[in-house]
Amino acid sequence: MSDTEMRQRLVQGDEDAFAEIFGALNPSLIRLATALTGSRAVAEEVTQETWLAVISGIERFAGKSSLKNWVFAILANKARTRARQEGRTTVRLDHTSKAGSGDADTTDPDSFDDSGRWREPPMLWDEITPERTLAGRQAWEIVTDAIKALPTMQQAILDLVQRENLAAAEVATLLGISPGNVRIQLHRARERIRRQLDQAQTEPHGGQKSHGCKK
Amino acid sequence: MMSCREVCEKAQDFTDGTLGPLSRAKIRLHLLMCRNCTGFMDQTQQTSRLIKSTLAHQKASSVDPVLLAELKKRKK
Ligand SMILES: [Zn+2]
Repeated sequence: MSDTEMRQRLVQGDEDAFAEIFGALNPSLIRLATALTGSRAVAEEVTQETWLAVISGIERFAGKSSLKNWVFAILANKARTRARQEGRTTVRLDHTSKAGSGDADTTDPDSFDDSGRWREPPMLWDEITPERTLAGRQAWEIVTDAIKALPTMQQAILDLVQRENLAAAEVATLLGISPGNVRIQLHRARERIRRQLDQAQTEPHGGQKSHGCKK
Repeated sequence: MMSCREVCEKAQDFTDGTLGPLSRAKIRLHLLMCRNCTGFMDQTQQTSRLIKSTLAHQKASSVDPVLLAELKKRKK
């Protein structure tokens, strides 16, 4: 459905159209709001307020951005206002970089020798489909749990980039951080997930460490 | 010649297609000659694909009655 058609149908109070946009955006809105407010409970309230504003104010969508970006922008504003009211500082650079530099990023032994070659070869993966079982769990379950274990900021970034296909610059605006930081956090998030998939595959043979480059 | 370490560091940008043409060409050349980095690049690409498909299959919760009520107000 095009943005114009969606707008028109929401103006008429069309429930099917609303269910469609709600289904498409709600998980990402909650993740973004959680990152901005620091609380899942507050995030759900802010997301609800956002949808109420979208429904009652849909006429104000002028098509200057995509409808999706318009909804995200409303949410980001509300989340920031709410975080201020509750005395929470929203996203801080130092806070996010600290949250990102966990064990997976820093404590691994260096994978390369002095000339920059691999000390030990990376494992060759077979094709992993989402349903394939690794160490007793399906790949999508491993990925789901790995995402949940990330700092909320990285979860939001991963979601906005890999699910909503927003550009790093758009994500940066929504979160109030620099595009460079968006990319760094995105890299860390994906690297952690890659390592967990790697470890899940080696587990039956004794769980060796995953090799990668420090970020 | 780009080192394995550099290829590893640029693997995600290569996968995302955000690198310039020169870096892309250097990485392609390296991959032709290096089985280890080819393996690592494949891991990076598979991870990205798995994340995308996992996130795409996330289900939203059902629509709250409060929102449906607000929607009804629009129907005259
Ligand atoms: Zn190499």
